[in-house]
Amino acid sequence: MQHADWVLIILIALLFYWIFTSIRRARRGKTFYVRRIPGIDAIDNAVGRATEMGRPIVYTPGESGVQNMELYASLGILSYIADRAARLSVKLIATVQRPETYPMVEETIRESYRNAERLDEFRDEDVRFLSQHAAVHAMMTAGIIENEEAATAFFFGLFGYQSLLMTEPGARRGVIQIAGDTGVFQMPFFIASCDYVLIGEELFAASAYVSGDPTIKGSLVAQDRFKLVLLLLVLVGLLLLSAHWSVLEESPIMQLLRRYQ
Amino acid sequence: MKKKIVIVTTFVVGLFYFLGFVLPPFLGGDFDNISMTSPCLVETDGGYRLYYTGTQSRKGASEVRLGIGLAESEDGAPWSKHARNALLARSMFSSDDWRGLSHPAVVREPDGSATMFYIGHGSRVGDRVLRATSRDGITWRRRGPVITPVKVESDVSRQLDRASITALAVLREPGGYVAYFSGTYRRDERTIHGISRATSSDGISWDLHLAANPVFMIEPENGWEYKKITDLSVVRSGDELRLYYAGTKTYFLDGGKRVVPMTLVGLATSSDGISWTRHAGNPVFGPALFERGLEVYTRFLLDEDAADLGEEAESLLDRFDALGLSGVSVIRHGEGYLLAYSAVKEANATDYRTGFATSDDGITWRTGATTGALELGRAPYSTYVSSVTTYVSRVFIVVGAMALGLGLVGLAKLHGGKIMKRDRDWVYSMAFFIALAFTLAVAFGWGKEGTDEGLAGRKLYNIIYTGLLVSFGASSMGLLTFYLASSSHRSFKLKSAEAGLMMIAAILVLLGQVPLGQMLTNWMPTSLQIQNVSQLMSSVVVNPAMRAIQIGAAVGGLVLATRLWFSMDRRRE
Repeated sequence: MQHADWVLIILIALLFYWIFTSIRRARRGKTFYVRRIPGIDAIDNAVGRATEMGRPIVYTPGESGVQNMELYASLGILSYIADRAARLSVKLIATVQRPETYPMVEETIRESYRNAERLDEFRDEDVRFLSQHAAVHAMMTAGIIENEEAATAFFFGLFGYQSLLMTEPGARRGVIQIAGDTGVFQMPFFIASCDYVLIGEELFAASAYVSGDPTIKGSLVAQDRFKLVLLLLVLVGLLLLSAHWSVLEESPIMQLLRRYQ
Repeated sequence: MKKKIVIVTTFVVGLFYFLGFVLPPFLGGDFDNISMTSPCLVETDGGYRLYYTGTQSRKGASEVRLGIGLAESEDGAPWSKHARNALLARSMFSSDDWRGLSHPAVVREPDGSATMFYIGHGSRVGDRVLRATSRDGITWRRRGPVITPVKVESDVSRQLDRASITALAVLREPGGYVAYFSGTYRRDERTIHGISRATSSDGISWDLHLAANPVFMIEPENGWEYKKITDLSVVRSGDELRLYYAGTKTYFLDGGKRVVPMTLVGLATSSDGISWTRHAGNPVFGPALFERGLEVYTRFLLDEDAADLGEEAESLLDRFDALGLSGVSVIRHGEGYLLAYSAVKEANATDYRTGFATSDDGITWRTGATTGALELGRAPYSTYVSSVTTYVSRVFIVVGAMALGLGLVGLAKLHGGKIMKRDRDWVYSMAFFIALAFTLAVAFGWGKEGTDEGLAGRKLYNIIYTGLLVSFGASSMGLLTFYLASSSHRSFKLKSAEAGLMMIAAILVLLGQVPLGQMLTNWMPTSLQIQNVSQLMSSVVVNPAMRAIQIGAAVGGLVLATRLWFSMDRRRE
């Protein structure tokens, strides 16, 4: 397990402070501007298209496991899509690669159907654990998109080399596909084969965006501020390294901090 | 009620993980709580000083920190550690020693100040010699790197490997400084340890004498110094220079399962520091059991049961320096010599303590109760958090295994339903049950490893796994190649300005990878040739962009984790 040194502890404390204060301000009525992300706006259109065509929606969180934050962001978006699908009576098929995420995906969809008062339309068989093998899961998901003649497919989570295996057959058939991944290596494949892509942190922002809770949007402000601090630290680090600043190195405050790092 | 239980459980589990991250497994403790190695003795006006490398661990054995500390003595015994230890710790801003620092070599300047040369760990060019200065020998100021290992490509027989300065000793001579440092060299197609000599008038600019180095090589024929030189010390005695070096041999026993190092100290003398002559009676110093002779010591290391030590020698095994040795430092002590050494009780142990020995002639040494030993620093306190988080993680493994069962039940329901209802393609659903029964049969009939029992099951497993699953994976990768081509074709259509930009970048990168591109641009200045432009794009444009995305995603994940931890994410009503 990795452990924090004092620099990280200070940064985490700063992040916590900003998250809690921005959420408190939001609860007191402050509204925050969050720029529109085309990929998120397209979700409603994609669900609407499936409704008009009377065809199902396919959703997969990829290989995200319980230890990956991408899974929780994905579940947030899934909850929103399942809610829309339940209200519009569109069939939603979710495919799962990691067995431990199976009950979480199932429960998320079930609760959305319950909230929409359409629990009777929820079918267990529509949440499918396919395989732990990445290629098998990808091929089977692509197979479901083809066989079920899906109108829309969502890929939100963590994906490996199999991303293109999943998305290319759908792209050829004209399926509306929206993807979101934090990994940079699969990004080009998604961009080449999907209609909309949420890049990096947009996936996390999306779960806050679709939740509709203004207080959660407040946390995005903290996120942006924190990124600004990291950017400044990178610049300061560059300057210090370039200058070989040994005066700062031997200063009493640094010696004191070093004892507790 | 159910909601409250989920909120509380999430918070408690999150708290354990958070504490496990913020708090290391151990807190407090001295900088030398794991070991004390590479001693360096210095004579001062009021007595003696011992600089040494302290190893500290607060985060488990996998992450240790190296720092330099000081112990003082008025007459060679007793010794007491300085209250301000560690005097030098790993750097926060310098890339030269951010991983730690070791092997101090301290010399006294004519004006009473002190200069320390030490090995810094962390630089990309390898471990190198750094310099620090001090007025009082206690408060040090870093002065940067002075010696970097070089690779002499033209003469492989004298090639000094990068990142291989392993030990260091420095003498202050009237004309300046003379440094001796050990490293690895290539000789007759073999890598061998040796000692190089470098000179400097100011301690900053060093002449590495590349053509003349190394001045001393280990002799593989001398059984005890077969492997490497772990430490060295050079002392001037009149016109003569004395080199004490710790040579190591490693025994691989029980077919390589048991590795036993044997380190002993040898002596070589020289008048000019370049030509060295080994002492005929080498080795001259070793761990406590070496007092009974090299043969007894070696025999005991190889087979503890076979060696008949006798009662007197048995008592040597109780000493802190019974069987292992690492560092050595020697200075003049009145008319004789004082030696500091790092030693351990067991040959394979790493908790080195520092011991001292005296000698009249620098060859025959006296150790034991009269000179005492410096003990390790205080151990850190356990925070117990890490072990708790380990248990919590195990719970997740169990939950994961149970979820696999749930997934199987889900699949069985899906395919079972299809078969029962004779849905479309229901025949294919049979494959699921056949494959499941097949693999279960293999698992139950696995038998005992190394026997013929269950051999058929294992062969069957190979057919399923290597024959089917691996082949299937390879086929899907093949399919991926075609998908890549078709998706690239679609993306390269000039639908927008962004697509045009992407196409230009792709063409540049593609041409940079193939000989045709190089052929087309080899008439241009080097910086404009396509392979260099392509490389520049990757390292200057693509890399920072990818890192920016990764940093953004990491921060986004952190914020989401915090929201989940405190159950701030509300469900839509």
